Amino acid sequence: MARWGAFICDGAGVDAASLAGEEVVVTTTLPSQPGDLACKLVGIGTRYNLDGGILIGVVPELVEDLLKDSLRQAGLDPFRLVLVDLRGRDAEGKDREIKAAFARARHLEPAAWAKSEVEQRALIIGGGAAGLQTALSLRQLGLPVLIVEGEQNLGGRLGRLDGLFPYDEDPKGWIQSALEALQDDPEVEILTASNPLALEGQVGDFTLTVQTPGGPVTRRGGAVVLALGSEVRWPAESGLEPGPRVVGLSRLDELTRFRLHHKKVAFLLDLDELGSRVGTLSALRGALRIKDNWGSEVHILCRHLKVDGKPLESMYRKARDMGVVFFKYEEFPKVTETGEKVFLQFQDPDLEYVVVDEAYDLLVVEEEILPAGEVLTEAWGISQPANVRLYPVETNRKGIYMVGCCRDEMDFPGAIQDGTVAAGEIYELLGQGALVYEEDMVKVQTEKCVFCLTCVRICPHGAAEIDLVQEAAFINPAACQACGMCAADCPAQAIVYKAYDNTGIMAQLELGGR
Amino acid sequence: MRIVVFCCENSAYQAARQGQLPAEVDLIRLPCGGRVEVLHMLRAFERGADGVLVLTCQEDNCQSLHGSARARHRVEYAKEILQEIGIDPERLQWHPVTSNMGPRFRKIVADMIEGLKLASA
Ligand code: SF4
Ligand code: SF4
Repeated sequence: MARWGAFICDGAGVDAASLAGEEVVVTTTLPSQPGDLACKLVGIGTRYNLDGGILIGVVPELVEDLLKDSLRQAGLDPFRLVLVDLRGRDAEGKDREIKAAFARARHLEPAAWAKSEVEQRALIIGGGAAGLQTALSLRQLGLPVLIVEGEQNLGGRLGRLDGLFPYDEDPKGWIQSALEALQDDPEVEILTASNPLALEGQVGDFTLTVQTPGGPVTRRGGAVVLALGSEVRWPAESGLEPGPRVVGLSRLDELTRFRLHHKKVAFLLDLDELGSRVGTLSALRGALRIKDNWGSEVHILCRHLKVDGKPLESMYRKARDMGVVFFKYEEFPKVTETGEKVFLQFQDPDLEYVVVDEAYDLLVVEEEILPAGEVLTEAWGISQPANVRLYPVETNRKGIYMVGCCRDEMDFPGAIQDGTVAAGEIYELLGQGALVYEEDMVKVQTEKCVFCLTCVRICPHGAAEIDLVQEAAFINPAACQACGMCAADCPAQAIVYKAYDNTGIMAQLELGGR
Repeated sequence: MRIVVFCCENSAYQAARQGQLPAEVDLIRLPCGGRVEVLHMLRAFERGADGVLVLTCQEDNCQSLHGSARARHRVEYAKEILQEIGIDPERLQWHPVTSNMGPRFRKIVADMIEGLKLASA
């Protein structure tokens, strides 16, 4: 028979005498401050050798973790602490909450924490700005890294830019200093001209297979960072064709390195209705570059100029001061081309829709920037939906992160920030060298499993796996985030979720009507 | 009268604690909306509930990504069963409630109590 204690916080308005009749070995009143509460819980739990406790009070759920942690440190079972929060309840409500808690408590099975060693290395796929920053920050925190890059050189899209106006940073210099910090470090391995082939394992122990120029190699690591960058796509739907007089925004740096001179240049932005901040940023940077390098006349055509944020606003002002002219359009401009000139015809709502008809020597078109690597993330069951619980760099799978342009359109400072944030999270996860998790909290009863794989398909965190030897599903306890979805959907009722088992839920319903 | 409210502990369960709860309410705390089973809802009716609410996260900020949507689908299915066995399916409802929506939580509960009173009058 389990030994239970009942703890009543002062201020809960519950009389200890009312608990007579419940099977408890000790009833005591405790202060409501979380810190004091934790100490007292541990003290009494140890003294009376309790298996579990029911804490009746006005304690919000938020302090539950703190209390459980104290119990765990004292060697007590943290899972048999049932919290009854009586805030907002009248006398009858309090009574029912307490009865329900006792009903649930009677069905709670003991649980335990498990600890397993982890690989401390982070496997970073992609050596652009975000990937490199993740590596740099992780090294500062003392964790080893592997960087896998598809191209010959590190740097990604950043490496193809000449300037990062208005940031004082020079992209090549930034990459160079990142490389200097990483290349002689024995805790850093860099595989270039290499591509990921397969990812296996779970948080704390992943195995990545990489195709290198010398053949496939495998590496183990405790966390995976996807820094896959973005792809630039020509906006073919616009009907425009790239050519000597019509070029994509991403090619501008390359062009403006030459001394050739275009007298009059137009930028055409927002081709896909919404347009992008990064597109506006690149166009403003390009316009200023053209003004500086060629001194041309520059027009920028857009649907809405996105000047939220300081750098955009100041670049916009600077561009205007330098004589760049901005136009708005609603209906897509009519573009015609002769060998020498590109003609744009459009109506600007701010100019009372007079038809503007201009001839240019060069038309620079905003391309679409799409996240790269979708094939990979899909194959590996990794997703990062717009969900505040995952924001910014977490994914559906524990220990796997997405940083930089593969998760969202962003500029250089954004990518740097992502790398720093991801490194911090990885340090928190792997820094201690071990993972601590709730052992068997959600568990498949192998003998009941009919191997239908429902749990494997529906687990949002990729924690339910296939055990071919046992011919049963298996739940990886470190990756499981204890949502209970598999337990609810298993057609064979083969999955037990200790803290929220059916018997406990049903017992609360047994209280009956009033 | 008894209203059983299945609450996701990340959202509705916290909203529930932000004000006075009617005495009719019995809260059942779940780790995620995705844990609720059709069986739980039917058992609640069997054990004397006049109304059952399943209150979970907004679908796009469910910690388990589709837990809230799973809960909604299961409620829809349980409603079909209720219809079949002659219980007004309106006695079972699913609503999204975030953790800071105390007033909305109370409004949903009050509306259900109101509806049940009208139905029995
Ligand atoms: S859903 Fe249940 S029966 Fe199906 S594989 Fe998973 S544990 Fe086994
Ligand atoms: S409880 Fe949730 S996270 Fe854990 S295995 Fe089941 S579905 Fe996956």
